[in-house]
Amino acid sequence: MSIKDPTRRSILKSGAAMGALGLSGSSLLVSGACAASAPSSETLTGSHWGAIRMKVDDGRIVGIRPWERDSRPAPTLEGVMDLIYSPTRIKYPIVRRDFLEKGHRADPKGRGDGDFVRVSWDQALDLVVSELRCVDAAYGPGGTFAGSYGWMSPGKLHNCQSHLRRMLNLKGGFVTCTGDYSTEALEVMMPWVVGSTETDQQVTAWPVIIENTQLMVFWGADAINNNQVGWLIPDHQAYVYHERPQRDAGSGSRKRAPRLRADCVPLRPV
Amino acid sequence: MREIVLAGDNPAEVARDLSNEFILLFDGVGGPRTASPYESAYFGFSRRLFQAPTSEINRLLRQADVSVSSDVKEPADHLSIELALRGRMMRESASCRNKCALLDLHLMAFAPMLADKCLEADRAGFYAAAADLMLGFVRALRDAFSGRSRPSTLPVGDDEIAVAPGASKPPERPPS
Repeated sequence: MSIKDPTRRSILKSGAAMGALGLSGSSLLVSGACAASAPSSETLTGSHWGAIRMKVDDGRIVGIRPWERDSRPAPTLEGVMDLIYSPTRIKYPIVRRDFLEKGHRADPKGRGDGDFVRVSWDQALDLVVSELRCVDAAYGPGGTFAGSYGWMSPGKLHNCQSHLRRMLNLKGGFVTCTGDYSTEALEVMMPWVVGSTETDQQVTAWPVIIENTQLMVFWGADAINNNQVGWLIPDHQAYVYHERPQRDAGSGSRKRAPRLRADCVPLRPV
Repeated sequence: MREIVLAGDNPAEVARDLSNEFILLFDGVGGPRTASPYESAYFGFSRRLFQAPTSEINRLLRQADVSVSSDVKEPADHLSIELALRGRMMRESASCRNKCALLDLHLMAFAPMLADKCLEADRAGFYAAAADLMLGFVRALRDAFSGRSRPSTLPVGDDEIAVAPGASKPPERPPS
């Protein structure tokens, strides 16, 4: 049925169909207003792209500017806001449907095809615990590897590797690892080259390199681009040294890297 | 919508099919296919969430002496929260007519684009139809309460959907 003269009552009635687009309408709002948010403020914080001052208004980040003592702020700094407020940031636990229905007997071929369904946090935790118990029963402690991707937001709250190991310590009995995938080769190789690991120890400072180096080879690294980002919070001071003359330009098929005033030698000569 | 819901023999399986499509469309899992249900995602050029509309709806919530339930972890400019607030305002006295008009502007600022995106990205069609219905509802609401020319028909209950979505116009921005 349809009507030609809408009334408040008919509109209210048709509103019942709106629930299909997500949250239920009846319990979304409760009586009583929340207190207004604190007045605008600016917070100094850190990121992989440098130290930043974030302007917060009504509980929202409304602006970002680099720390004033960062002489070479990363041009990608603005992207920090996209990282926080992306419409594609996943906010709820989801699980592959086949796994939800069949557990470890799920067909692995379906991985990556986007066939996920949302579950509650309680249900998600139950699934994880159930699977860990299942692996323990079938394979023993050697069946669980406490490995995780290492990068995280600066600040130890977000250390995913620590969180994973703390969680698995509640159960006990799993395989862990030493070192990490980023620097393990360096830690073995560098003592033979410079006498220290150069990873967790004081690295050679740029003035020393400039004073003593005849030839410096960046192998598979773009120092200008890569140093925008740091494992902790970079201050970008290395750029001061990158811009000093280090070596006269070459010629022929070699390309110049103007900011380094150095030659870029292709691995396979042109 | 009815055909899709009644198509399967197993209600739980139908529910999971719809849940899968829901998160692909609205929860961000679908990447570029995402039809974000937040007004902020259609505000300005950044496409970020938590932009000015979030604060504006928060202000309207405070003025209506209501707040988002503590178990709902969504910003105030979520479509469902704006619709819930609109419903609450309708039940209030006629004194909130101006606030209703303002909220209608907020809804119309993104509902047409959200419905278009659903139409483009929804594989099964259930949420595209729901978005169609929502858009017809929001348009009719705006027209009925603003004294504009009334729509020719309105959907009622679980009967036929009578309001066609029509072509999307560029949204009118509410005053900042």
